[in-house]
Amino acid sequence: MRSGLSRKEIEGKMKELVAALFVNIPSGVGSHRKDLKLGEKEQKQVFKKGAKWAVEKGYGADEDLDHIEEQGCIEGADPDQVSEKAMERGRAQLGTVGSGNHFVEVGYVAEVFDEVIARALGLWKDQITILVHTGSRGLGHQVCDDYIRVMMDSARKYQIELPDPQLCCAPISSPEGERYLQAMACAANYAFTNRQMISHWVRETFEQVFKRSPSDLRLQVVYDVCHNIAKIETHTIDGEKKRVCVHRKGATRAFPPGHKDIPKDYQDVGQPVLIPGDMGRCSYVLIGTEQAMKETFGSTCHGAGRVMSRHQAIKAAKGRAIVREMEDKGIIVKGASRGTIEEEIPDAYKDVNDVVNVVHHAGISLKVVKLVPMGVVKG
Amino acid sequence: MSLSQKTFFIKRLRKRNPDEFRFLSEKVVEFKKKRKRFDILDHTADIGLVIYGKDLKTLFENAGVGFFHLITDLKRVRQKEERRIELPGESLERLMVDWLNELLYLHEVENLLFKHFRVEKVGKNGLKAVAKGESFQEGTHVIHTGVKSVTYHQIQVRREGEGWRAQVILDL
Repeated sequence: MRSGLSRKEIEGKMKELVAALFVNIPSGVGSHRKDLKLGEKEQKQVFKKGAKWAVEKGYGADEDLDHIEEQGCIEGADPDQVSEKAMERGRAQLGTVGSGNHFVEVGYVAEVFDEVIARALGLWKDQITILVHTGSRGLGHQVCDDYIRVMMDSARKYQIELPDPQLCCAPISSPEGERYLQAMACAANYAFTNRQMISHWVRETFEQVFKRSPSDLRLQVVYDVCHNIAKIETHTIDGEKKRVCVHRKGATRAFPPGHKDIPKDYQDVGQPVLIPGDMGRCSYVLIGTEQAMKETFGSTCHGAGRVMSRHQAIKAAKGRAIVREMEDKGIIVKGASRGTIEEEIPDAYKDVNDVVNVVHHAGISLKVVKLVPMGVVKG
Repeated sequence: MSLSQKTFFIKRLRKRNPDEFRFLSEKVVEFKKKRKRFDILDHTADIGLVIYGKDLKTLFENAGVGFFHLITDLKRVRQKEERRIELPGESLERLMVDWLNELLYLHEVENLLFKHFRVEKVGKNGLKAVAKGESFQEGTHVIHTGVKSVTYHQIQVRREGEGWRAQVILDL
């Protein structure tokens, strides 16, 4: 999200802001908003409508949807393909960030690489920005687990040899494949809803802390894009246009200017790509390119990637006051537990600058702005 | 016997009867090795558990302990509530993943932390077990890490020597 605030305007307020975000946006075991109760019927609406459900319930505005991949709703979602268990896990966790590498981060635009594109995305130097990284939570994992069991049998049925059982699969057009895509769409729509609700609480928190009106704060969604998803898309292969299923796992869609699936506002520049780094270094906004369409089915990287296992990270963090270290760097961090902060120490990640430079020089997406964190809420 | 008394006797034994001391300390190491319930396996993006057990029941019980050891400090968890878990017949590999996923499900939906497991029956015909623990309480319990899911990646459950050994990779 972008804002109408500059870095100077929020100086000295960061601790208060992070504390308020931590209260308003649930993270950690068993935490959820007391004002949110989701029945089974409502949950099925979430699966079918995606972020639109959230907007109808008063979380954000219609114009937010224009800046979400697929308008925050993937077609073909069938709630009947989602198990009772997945439903239950989802009900408890809608509107929560979750642990691992998920976060809500307040930062500022530290560097602008392309003035024209940055302006088109509404981004400018020293502007306050907010990054939200979360997804379909336990529901997505349960859908995955349920269908892995199905796919293990179908791999046998369709005589697909597997190097590892986790890679089990089925033909897309098979009944199992179709059912999976219908269930996956439910999980994706749940994730869009989850992020939309969190964006709304980010806005409320800013209003509460800065005591300024929404029109003054101008917290607007720049873009919302999936990091792990399979999409049916048209790509040119050997000079021929084909409908294919592109599975982006640990990858982000990076469509070029003029592509029909990107927002009207961004038609001239291309699709914004959000690349979170670690909590101590920086993150990037990139833009999709024609090169990506030619070489990588319109895809680019999705984050820095780890160099240290979580176990190693916790060992490396032993005896160090990580929250204090970050504070000395000017970054306020608040997490549900020490362990989840320690496993996310900056040293555990590759330098996102290196990763982004690789995709930039390869031309599969181009640098627009660099974001430097000021406050981070971890699950 | 207090700790200082114990230390005193151990030191005296080492001095007076070094052969017996060596014999006894080897026994202790052997005993500890036998009792080892699990190891943590380093994996860049995820984490793995290698689980040991003298029989299948112990193997599955130890898997439960290892799983919650990653999530929380078990010393702070009391046995206040119990849940019966029954799973249908599967291959042992699938049963192991199902077992841990079932525990993860109860952890997520009911915020339960389990520390004690009693497996009554486990094999090709399924699993019957009781898990004991309590609900997560802010302030009392700590969370070391959140587990997202239990995967089939490089899954192994097999006999090793006189006992059993299993390997599971968890997505964090």
